[in-house]
Amino acid sequence: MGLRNRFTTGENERAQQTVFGVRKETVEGIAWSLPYLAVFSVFLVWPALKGFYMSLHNWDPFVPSESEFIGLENYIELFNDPVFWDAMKGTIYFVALSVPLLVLLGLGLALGVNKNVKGKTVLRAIYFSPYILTVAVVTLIWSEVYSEGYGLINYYLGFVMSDPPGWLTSTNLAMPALAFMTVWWLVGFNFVIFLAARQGVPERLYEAARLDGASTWRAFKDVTLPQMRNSILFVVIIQFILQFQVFAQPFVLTSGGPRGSTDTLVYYLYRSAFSQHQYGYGAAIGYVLVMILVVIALINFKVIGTND
Amino acid sequence: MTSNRISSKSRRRFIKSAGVAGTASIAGCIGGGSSGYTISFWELFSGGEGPVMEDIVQKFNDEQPLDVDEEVTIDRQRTPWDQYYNNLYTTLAGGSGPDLAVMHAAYLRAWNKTIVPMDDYIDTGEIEGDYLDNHWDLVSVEDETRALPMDLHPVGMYYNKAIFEEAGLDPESPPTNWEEFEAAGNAIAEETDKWAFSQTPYNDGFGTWRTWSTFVKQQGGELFDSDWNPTFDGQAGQNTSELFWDMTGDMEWSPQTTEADWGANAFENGDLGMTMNGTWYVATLEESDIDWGFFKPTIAPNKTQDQVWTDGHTIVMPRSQDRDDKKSEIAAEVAHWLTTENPEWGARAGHLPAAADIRESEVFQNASFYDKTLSKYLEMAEEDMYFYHPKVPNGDPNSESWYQWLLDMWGHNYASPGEALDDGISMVNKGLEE
Repeated sequence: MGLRNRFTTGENERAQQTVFGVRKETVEGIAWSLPYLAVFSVFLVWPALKGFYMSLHNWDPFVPSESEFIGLENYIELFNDPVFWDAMKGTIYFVALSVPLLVLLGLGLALGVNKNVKGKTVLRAIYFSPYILTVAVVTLIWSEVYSEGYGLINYYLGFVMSDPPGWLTSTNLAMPALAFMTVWWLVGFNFVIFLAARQGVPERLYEAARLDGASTWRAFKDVTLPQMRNSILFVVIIQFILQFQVFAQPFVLTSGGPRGSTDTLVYYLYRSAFSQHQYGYGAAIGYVLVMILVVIALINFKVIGTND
Repeated sequence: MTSNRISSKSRRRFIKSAGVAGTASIAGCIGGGSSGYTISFWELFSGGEGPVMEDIVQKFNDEQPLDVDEEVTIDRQRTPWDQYYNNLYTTLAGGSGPDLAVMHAAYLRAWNKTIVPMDDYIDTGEIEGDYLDNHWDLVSVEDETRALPMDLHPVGMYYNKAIFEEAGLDPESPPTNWEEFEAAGNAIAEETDKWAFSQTPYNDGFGTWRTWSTFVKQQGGELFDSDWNPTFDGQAGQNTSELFWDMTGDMEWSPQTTEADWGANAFENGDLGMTMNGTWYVATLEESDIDWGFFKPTIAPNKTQDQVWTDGHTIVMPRSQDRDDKKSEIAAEVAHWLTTENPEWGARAGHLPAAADIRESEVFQNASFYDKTLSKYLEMAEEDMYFYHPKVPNGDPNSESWYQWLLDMWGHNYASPGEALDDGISMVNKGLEE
C-alpha cells in the first residue's frame, strides 16, 4: 500500500466513525466552530436582527415592549427626508474623494518602495506610521493644521496671501479637507497590503515578459495588476466599507457643517438615534447603509473579479 | 498668548476626541453596603465651573454633612457638555443611570420618562422654602417637583476695557442701549485693528441662540406658540436675523467664520471688543490677563421690553432599576445639600444660586466679581427681565442640530438671512418630533 493510499484509508475510516449516530468528522467540525459561532451570534447576528426589528418600530427605549409596530414607515420616511439625502450625497462625495486616492496612492507607494531605492526601510515606516494613530489623535492633529486662525497651513499661506481660506469652515473645502486627512491617516494600511502582494509576484513572470519585449507599462498591466488582483479587490472593498461609514472625522472636526456640507450617513444615524432619540429611524438608516455596502461589494467582485 | 489660544481650543477638541476614543467615563451605581452609601453623580461642568464642583463634592466627602448613620460618598463623573445629554439619555434608557445628575431646567418636561420626581423621596413641602420662588417654579412641572434647583445662569455682555479705550470710548461707561452699542461697535471696527463683537465666544449654534433669542424677545417677538410650534420667524426674528447677517457683513464687526471657539480665543487674547455669554464666563475671565467689564445685554434695536435669556441648572434623580428606597432618600438629601449649602457656586462659578440663604451669605456677597457681574445679574432678576429657555415637550432643547442654522447664518453660508430662518423653523420642527 502506497503512502497516499494509507492516508486516504485512514481518513475514510475516521470519517465513517460516528458519535450518537452522527459522523465523527461532523461533530468535530461543529465543536471547533462553536466558540466562533457563539461570539458571531451574540455580537453580530443578534444585534443585526434586533436592529432590523427596531427599524420596523417607533422604538420606545424605556419600555421596548410598548414600541409601536409601524412596518416600513421608517424606511418610507427616510426616502422622503431631505437631510438623509444630503447625508447620502455627502457620504458618496467623501467616498469618491478618498477611496480612489487611498487605493492609487497606496499602490503607487508600494510599487515605488518595492524598487531598490535608498532608504526604503525608513520610507516604509514613514508611510505606515500614521495608520497606527487612533482617529481621535488624527483629528486633534489636523484640527491644528487646518485651523483658520492659527493653523499650520494658513500660517504659511499668510506669507503669500492676505486672506487664507477656512479649510473646515468653507462649504466647498471642508469635505475635501476631511478626505485628505483620511487619506494621510489610512493609506499606510493599503500600502502594506499592496507591498506584500507585489513581493509575492514571481520575478520569473517579469523575466518572461522582458524576454517577450514587454515595456514597463505592459508588464505592469499584464503581470503586476492581474497578479495583485485579489489584494486590490480586498483593499477596494475594505476601503468602500470603511469610508462609507465615515463618522468620527465630521463628528469631531465639523459637526457635519458648515451648513451640512460634511454630513454623512453614519453621523446622521448617530444624531437620529442618540440626539433625536429616534432609535427605530436610526436603525433604518443603518440597514439602508448595509444594503448599499452589499451592492457595492458585489459590483466590485464583478468589475475586478478574483484569481480564484 | 498663542499657547493659551491653542491650548483652549485643543482642550475642547481633546475632550470631544476622547469621547470618540471611548474614554468617556461611565459611572457605576455602587449600592449601599455595610460601609455606607456611594451616590453616583453625573455633571457636565467644564472650564472655570468644573473645579468649583469638584471642590464642593470633595467638601461633602470630607465633612459628611448629612445627619445619617452611614457614611455617604459622592462619586462624581464629569462628561463633556456636548456629549453629556446623549450619554445620559442612552444610559438612562438602559436603566443603569447614576443616582443624581445635573440637568438643565429646559429638559424637565421632555425628559420626564428618564427621571423620578423628588417628591417621592424628600418632603418637598418642607424644603420648598429653602429656595427662591422663581427657582422652585422652574422645577415644578405638571404638579411634580422634578428636580431641585441649583441656579440661574443668564447671559450678559462682556467687554475688553483696553479695546474700548483704544477706540476712544469710556471703558467705565459701557453701552446701555442700541444707539450706544452700535456706536461702540462701529468705533472698535473703525478705530482699532480689533474685532468689535462676537455673538458667543464658542461660535456654536446654541450659544448663538442665547444671544439671538434675547434680541428677538427684546423686540417683542415670540419663540414658540402655546402648542409649541416655533414662531420665531416673525418680524422680530427677521429683523434680528438681518442684524446678525450685517454684523459679519457690511458692519464688519466679526469675520464670517464658523470656526469653533473663535470668539473665546479672540476675546481671551485681547483681539475682540465685546462678546455675549453666560454667568459662568467670569470663572474663565478671572484667570485671564485681560481687563474686562460687564454690562446688561438690554441693547437690542427697536427694543420694546427688557428680556434676557436664561436657563437653570437643576439636580434630578434618574430612574434606576437597582436603587432601593433608602438609597433614593439619601440621594435626595445629597441633592438638597448640593443646592443649598454651597455659596461658592455663586461666589466662584458665577451663577445666581437658587437657595435664598446663599444669596444673603457673606461668601456670595464678597465674591471678587460681585459688583462687576453678580449685582447686575441680580438687578435683572429683581426687575423680572429673564425669560427661560423653553421647556419643550419633546426632543433635546440644547442640541446643536436645532440651532446650527444660526451659526451658518452668522458665517453667511446661506444666500440670505431669510433662507436661514426658514431652515431654522424646519430644523426645530424636526427636533420637536417624537
